[in-house]
Amino acid sequence: MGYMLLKMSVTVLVICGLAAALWLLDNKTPFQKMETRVKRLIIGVLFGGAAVFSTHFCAQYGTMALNIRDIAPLCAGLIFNPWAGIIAGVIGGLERFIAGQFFDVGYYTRIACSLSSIMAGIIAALLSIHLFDKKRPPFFYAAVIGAVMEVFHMLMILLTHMNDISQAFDIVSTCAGPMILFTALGCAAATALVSALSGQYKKGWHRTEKADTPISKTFQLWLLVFVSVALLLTFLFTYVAQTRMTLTSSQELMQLNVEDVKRELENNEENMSGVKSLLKQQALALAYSVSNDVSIMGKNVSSEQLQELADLYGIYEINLINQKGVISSSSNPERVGFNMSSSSMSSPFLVLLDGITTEYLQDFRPISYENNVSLMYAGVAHGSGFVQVGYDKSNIAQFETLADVTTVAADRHVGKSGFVLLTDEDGTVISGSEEYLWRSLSELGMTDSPKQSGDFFYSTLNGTKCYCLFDKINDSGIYIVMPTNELYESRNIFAYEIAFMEILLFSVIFALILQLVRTSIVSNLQKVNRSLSRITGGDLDEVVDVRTNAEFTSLSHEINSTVSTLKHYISEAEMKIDKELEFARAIQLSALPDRVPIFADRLGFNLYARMKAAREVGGDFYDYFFADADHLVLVIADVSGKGIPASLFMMKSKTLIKTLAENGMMSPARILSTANKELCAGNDAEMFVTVWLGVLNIHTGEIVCSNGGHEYPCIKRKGGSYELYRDKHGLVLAGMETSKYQEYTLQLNPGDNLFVYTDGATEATDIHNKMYGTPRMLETLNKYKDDDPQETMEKLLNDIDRFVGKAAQFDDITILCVGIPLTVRQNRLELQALDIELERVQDFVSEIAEAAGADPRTLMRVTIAVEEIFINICHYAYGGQPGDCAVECYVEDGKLIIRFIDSGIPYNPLVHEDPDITIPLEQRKAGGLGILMTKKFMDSVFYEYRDGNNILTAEKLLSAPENSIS
Amino acid sequence: MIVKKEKTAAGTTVFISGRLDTTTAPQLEEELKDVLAETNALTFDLDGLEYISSAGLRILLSAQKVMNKRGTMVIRHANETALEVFELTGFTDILTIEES
Repeated sequence: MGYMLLKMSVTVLVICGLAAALWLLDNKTPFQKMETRVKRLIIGVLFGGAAVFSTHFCAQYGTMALNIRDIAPLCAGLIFNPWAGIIAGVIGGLERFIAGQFFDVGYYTRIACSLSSIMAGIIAALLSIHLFDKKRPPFFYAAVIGAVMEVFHMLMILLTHMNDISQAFDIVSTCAGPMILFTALGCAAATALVSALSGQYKKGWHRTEKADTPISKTFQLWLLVFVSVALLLTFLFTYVAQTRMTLTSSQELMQLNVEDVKRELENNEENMSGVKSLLKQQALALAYSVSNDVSIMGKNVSSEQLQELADLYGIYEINLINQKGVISSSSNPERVGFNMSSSSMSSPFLVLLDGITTEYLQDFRPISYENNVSLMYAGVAHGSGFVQVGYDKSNIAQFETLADVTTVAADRHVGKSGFVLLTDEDGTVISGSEEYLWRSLSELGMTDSPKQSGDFFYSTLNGTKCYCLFDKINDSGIYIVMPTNELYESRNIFAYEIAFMEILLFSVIFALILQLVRTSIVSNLQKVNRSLSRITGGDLDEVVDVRTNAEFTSLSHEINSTVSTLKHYISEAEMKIDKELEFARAIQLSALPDRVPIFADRLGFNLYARMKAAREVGGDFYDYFFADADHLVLVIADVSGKGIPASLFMMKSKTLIKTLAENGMMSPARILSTANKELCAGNDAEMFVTVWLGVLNIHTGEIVCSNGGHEYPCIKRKGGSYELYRDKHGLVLAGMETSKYQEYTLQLNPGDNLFVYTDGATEATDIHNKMYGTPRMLETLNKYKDDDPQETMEKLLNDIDRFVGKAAQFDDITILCVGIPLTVRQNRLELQALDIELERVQDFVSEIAEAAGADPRTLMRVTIAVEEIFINICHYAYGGQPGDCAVECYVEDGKLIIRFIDSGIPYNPLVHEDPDITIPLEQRKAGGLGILMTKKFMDSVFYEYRDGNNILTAEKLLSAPENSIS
Repeated sequence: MIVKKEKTAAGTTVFISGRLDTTTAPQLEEELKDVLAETNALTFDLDGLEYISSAGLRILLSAQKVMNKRGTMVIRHANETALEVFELTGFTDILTIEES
């Protein structure tokens, strides 16, 4: 036993050592870089070798040779690689078969052993792939797998020897315990060792929180508990049922035997009684014979002589009793001197001394001087005394044989090793196998004798535990005896088989359910989770598509429809926001002055401004307006940030600046610092705005500028190139309340252009995140510097467009260019308000109108209107005194615009009532006709009084269709 | 502006050509003073008239008022421009304009 344990432990240690060595080799040496195919072959072969070693390094236990070969393939498959397990299993299994078949090493179990070794490899591989994801299982799992594998091994031994089940059972009942235990131990030890080497236990044992426990773990635990309980219960149930059944069938068998014996004995009853009387006669006859023989011997007969005589006759005892009733001589010398009257058993014989009675027979009785011996005595008168002959049972066996009694039990078998004993009324075996015959039951060790016939009871017979049935016929006892180990053999085989099968079955169920849970729940959940995390990551186009069962299909469907509803709402919200932003954009853009070039023909300067808005509402703006008749204010600005806040801030800034300038504040620096203070107040959003502001005197070309943190302006002198003008920057507006702004003056002469822009132009970005940059902007400007400023600007915008390409426009691009043209058309005529100047005024207007392509008819009408207005001023504006008048004429938007400015008495001629042109001649007045004609000939005429001037403006559409008046 | 007068038994014909505007109107007014004093049948031939403003209209209006009391006044050879002016000012109703 101790030797066996030592050898098994050595095998376990060898496999553990191999596992550890291979693990180190695979993790700490260049071996790990080898191809997987080669590695698993090497590992498989080495473990196969370990399996072969286990086969031949077997431990003797009882009559069996124990070996734990299955550990090697299991370890190879579970710890290293599924294929290595299979290889090791095949090597170990085949070698075992060959050794068994051809070299007589464990021939009897060769098939079971080799099969289970191969299966060990395969099962390890399957479990590793399907249950453990090719990861090393925890050591307790390895232990369970090892144990179950050995159970399979044991079951295989039983199943391959169904015809020879008893021997197979002997083997199994001996081997099962140690082999299962050591295989489990070996697998666990090897797994734990490798896990320890890999540092898995360094983290320590932490109880995982419920929230962190994977669903499969919980499932495993509960499944294990339930399966174990179910296994135990079914086993107990079958065990009890089987015990009950075995007992019942044995009892039936025994009862049948009793019946048979009884029937046989009944048949022999006549024989028996015949034999009995024969026996008595024979006993008496023998007594007479002895009496005769003793008479021949003479007076003094010695004990030796009587002993010889007894042996001769096959008699137990011969006593000679004298006339006083005392034994005078006996074959048993101890009996000499015994007084027959002293015992109740012997005293009846004294009747032979009365001289009348000649013979007396006493049936078998236990004798007093010797234990466990019953004797039958026959006495006959002999002289003055008598002769007493004692028989024991064996002495009369011949007679019983004659009555077939002894054969009744001796020839009978109950089951394989059960038998029948027949006793006489004293409990002496009169029939049965040799070893029990003529021995009393108490002598054989049967202590607890039954009283009732039909009783079953356990007893020990000759040291063997037996199950017995007692019955009685006449005085004879019938004992049907069944050794308990035979009684329960079939139950035990059955129990082992059932236990093994159930363990296997439940293991398989356990593994299958786990696998099912993993594939149909856990992996699906993981899939759903992956999709959900992609969705929460913002990918609303992700579709959850787990359709392996109804629940997950409906879950997928629900998630998908939730996401699509969400998507719908988001897109609706986005559309709404987009729409609102669009409105905001439109409002913002409409706040900017018309973007078409203006003033081209007017007053001797060019202006071009353009804002190319980004999709999102931004904060750029430009503005231009007349602060008074001579001063044109130019603004370009960029509000920090984007969206609605920026656009609101932009509106505020724009309005503020315009209001300040229009209310007479002419100094750009003052405008900026006042606006700055205003914007700083209540600037909770911490926004700011960069502003460049210039005030151009349209007559002199002088422009006074101030820069609040805005980009440097570009200036091009006549014949020169666009260059940055590094002006003095103040701080951005709304940045600090105390910011100071400086102003500077530039003189713009004919041919000069001043260009300002926002950073949206220089920082326009292409798809490679490269910025347009100031150098390229200047390069482009200079490439087209000799073009009309408007064209230069448009080409710059085109170039920026080309540069940006498909990249999204992030920021507004705003540009503004003001210039003095080289050739200035005189648009203003200043002269005295005198009739004689009429022709000069008319020529001035006609020239411009003709140049603009006015037809003769229109020209005529315009000329008439000009006369009427001018003459009106001459005659009435200054109350007959001489005065000045200015006439401006230019074409804008296809309209000829004529403006008369005088500083005379404020008077609006248009409010004068038109003359009635339907009344009779006599009532008609000469006045009012001129204004009437002016109104009729021009498309619109309006009056304003500003800065002490009467300003009358008349407009005529040059492309008007003919006869539009009539 | 050129003004020609032609007296016949039937009456007096005044030929006006060129521009009749504020600056030339006083000249026409001067020329008409004696004509209006003696003739009973006045004819304005506007064949050569290029331009007429309200100053000219006023002269025609006052001439018409004088002639209404004494005889007749006819306008002939008015060109398109003149006709348009007459039309606009309601003069077509009070002047006798000969269709040309």
